[in-house]
Amino acid sequence: MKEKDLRSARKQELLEIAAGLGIPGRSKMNKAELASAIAKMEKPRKAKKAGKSAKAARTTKPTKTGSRTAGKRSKAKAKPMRASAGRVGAKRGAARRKGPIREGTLVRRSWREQQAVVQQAKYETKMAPAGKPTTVTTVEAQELPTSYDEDRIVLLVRDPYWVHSYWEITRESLLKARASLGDEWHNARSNKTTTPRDVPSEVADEEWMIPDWEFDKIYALSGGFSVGAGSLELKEMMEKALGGETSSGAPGSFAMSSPAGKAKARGFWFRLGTELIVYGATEADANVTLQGRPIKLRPDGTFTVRFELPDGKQVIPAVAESADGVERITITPTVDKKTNK
Amino acid sequence: MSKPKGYLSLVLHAHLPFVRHPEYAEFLEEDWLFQAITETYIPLLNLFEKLEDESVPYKITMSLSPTVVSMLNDWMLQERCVRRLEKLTELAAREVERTRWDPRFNKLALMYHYFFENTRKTYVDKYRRDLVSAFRKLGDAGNVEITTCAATHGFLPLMSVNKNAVWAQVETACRYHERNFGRRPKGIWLPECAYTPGLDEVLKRAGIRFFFTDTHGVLNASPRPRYGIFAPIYCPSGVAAFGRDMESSRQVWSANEGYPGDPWYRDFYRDIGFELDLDYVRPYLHGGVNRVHTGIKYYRITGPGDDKQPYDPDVALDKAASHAGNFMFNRERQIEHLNGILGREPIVVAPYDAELFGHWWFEGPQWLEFLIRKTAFDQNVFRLTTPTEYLSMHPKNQIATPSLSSWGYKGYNEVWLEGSNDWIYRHLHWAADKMVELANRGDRSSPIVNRAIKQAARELMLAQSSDWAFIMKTGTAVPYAVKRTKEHLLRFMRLYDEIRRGAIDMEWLSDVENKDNVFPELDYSVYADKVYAGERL
Repeated sequence: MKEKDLRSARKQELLEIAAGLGIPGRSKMNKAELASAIAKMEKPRKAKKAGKSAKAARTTKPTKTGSRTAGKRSKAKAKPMRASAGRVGAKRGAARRKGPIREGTLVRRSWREQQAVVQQAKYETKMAPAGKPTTVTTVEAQELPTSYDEDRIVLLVRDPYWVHSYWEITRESLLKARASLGDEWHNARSNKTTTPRDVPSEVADEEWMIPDWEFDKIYALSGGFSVGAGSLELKEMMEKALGGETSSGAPGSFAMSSPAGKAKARGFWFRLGTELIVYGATEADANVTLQGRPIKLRPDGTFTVRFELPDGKQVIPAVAESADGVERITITPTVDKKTNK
Repeated sequence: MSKPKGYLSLVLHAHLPFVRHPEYAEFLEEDWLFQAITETYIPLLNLFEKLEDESVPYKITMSLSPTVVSMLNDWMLQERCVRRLEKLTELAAREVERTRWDPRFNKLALMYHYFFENTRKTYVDKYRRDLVSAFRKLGDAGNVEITTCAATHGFLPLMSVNKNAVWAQVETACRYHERNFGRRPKGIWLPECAYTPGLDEVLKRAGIRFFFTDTHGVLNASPRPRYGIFAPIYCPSGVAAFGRDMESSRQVWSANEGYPGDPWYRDFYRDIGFELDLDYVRPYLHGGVNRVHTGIKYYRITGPGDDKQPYDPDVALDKAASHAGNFMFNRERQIEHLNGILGREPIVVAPYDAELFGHWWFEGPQWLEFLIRKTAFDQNVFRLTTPTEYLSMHPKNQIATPSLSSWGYKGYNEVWLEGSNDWIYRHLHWAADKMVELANRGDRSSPIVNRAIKQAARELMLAQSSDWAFIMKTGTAVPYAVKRTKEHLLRFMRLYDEIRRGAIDMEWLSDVENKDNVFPELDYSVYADKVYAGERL
């Protein structure tokens, strides 16, 4: 809004905008002052917008971008995408791993999730109804460029079974590629990446050699059979995924859904509280007590006190005494509260 | 005391992302810091100082992330923290009045009133708002080993396509640590405990001697570790890796078996900010609209279901004592057993989020105090130690390369790389490459260009905080996390553009310098290639 437009707005509207912007001293300002204060706050934001359009101009060339999380098996599928896939330097075979599957591990899966819940509490200031923004900010979100006009493919390891890749190919490269159809061509070479093993190493060094059975014991004591909890869950999901759902091969369908356990049981609830508000007025310089305790009066001689009201009987003698102590008035309400559930 | 059979190393990792909004009179997410100061940092400082005063033998490791240190140093946030504490003290006083007829709640209102008032006094009068110096003093006294973390808690394995960016996070953190604590850090808490092979080379260059991984990081190391996770291993670079102990983690973190879930402990969610009449609590909410945590919570966990009983601090204190006793007993048995099998003194590493203690688990600091005192006086099986102390006692350890791992759900990178947040990486990686380009060009002759490049480095680092990806996946403040990521990237892009065109908007530059003022002495040349020539990550 321009300052001119602001001046034609109603004062109440301006006050609300000012409150949103956190302009100090707004309640004491007149309309014109409010308008100019708001205009001043709005300026830096406009500057930002200008910056954005400049950048948009820079990146308007059409490009092709994408991203995808894929299991190792998808390496072959990546080829038709015409991005030269980087090597997935996996040391082990695909999902099905040889060797003993370590049993007795599923029971414990919940505590890692719990850790996340606790860590999440750190960022908790309010319990927002889903989807509602939690901040008082009014700045509209600006968007990042959709592409950077470069040929690039990057592989990122997600876990022992999955690698995530994003890529971008410029229009020029696509044309060039089409022109040289049939030849070997590369637009971009990815970084090299290695997925981690999901079991202990089979390499033992001479100096620290111990028998296998003894290592198994230490492995167990280290929590090895349940560390796997993470890996084992993954393994199961992976096997399930490879068994069926991912065969469509549509980009994006490889991504697994977020951890289970979010589905909440029906939890209808109702809370009720009762409070009692006692309020009144007397001479501004009088002394007032409620149940024998002094009450602070407002400058105009009024007062308001609120109490949590438990079940039972409350006798609330209120006494006002004139400043010179000559006059004294007592009023005693009695409240009886009963709750039926 | 006779020679112990083994060691327990408690590690508390304190971290919050950089949240500071001078453009608003008050800002909801700044509460993260104020709550951590009130409920965690000050209670922990009080605890450690009490132990020092009484000469209780103890050792503990505390990692303070550079963003936390930076915010603790910021005068504007300090001022706002004092305001918040004053407000809460006022609210608690009104609560004392309001609950007069209900002694169950009145007792708690009095407790909170004392807590807030006392915290404010401690913060203002005792520490003069300077908690960093208080931690520094404890570090100097020798019982608390203070370690660092990556500069803005960037998730390093997913950053490592640009090795300079990883180096910049680590080296900036070490320099900031030195400035604040008087010496370079010996240890680092890798953000989210996330390690990827080769990362230790970077740490080595920064002079770091040890870091922590999750259990499987060490356990799946190659060659396989002779002592499991009960001894550190040296990476090929010579930096030591300590693996997290599952058992002690589970006892504290787990929902079912963990201590913090005890029915007698205070319930985190039932806060009067959400429960009482809106008109009454409005003056203590942000902008008078958003219901928020005030920190005044009257109920105990009680059990599943919504029907909660009032909290009883005395019973809860007894519980904290018995849980500490149980934890100690379990460590005694564990360490005795391990000692027999391993033939050397094991180290059990138990790392936790510092904010777990006090903020989430209200009785956490009490539990910790009981645990430390009991360990010192009630048993002879194990002693508390720090990684540095353990390495000096046991300098000979196996050489092995840890496995890629993190302490997130499922143990790898998925939490920070999945459907809700994977879009950030192409932008972060692009920006990191451009940052290296800027640092390589760095024009020392132009102060304005230098300022702009320095600010670009700050914006990149702030965008890299792993917190944003974490919140996008799990949190309640998703729009804020998205906004922060975009905002810093957009600021970076504009700076990059202006620097290249030689047209720096001075007014705007000053504005963002004032907003994103993290690491005042940041040296952007840490991004330059010459600093990192020839090294491979």
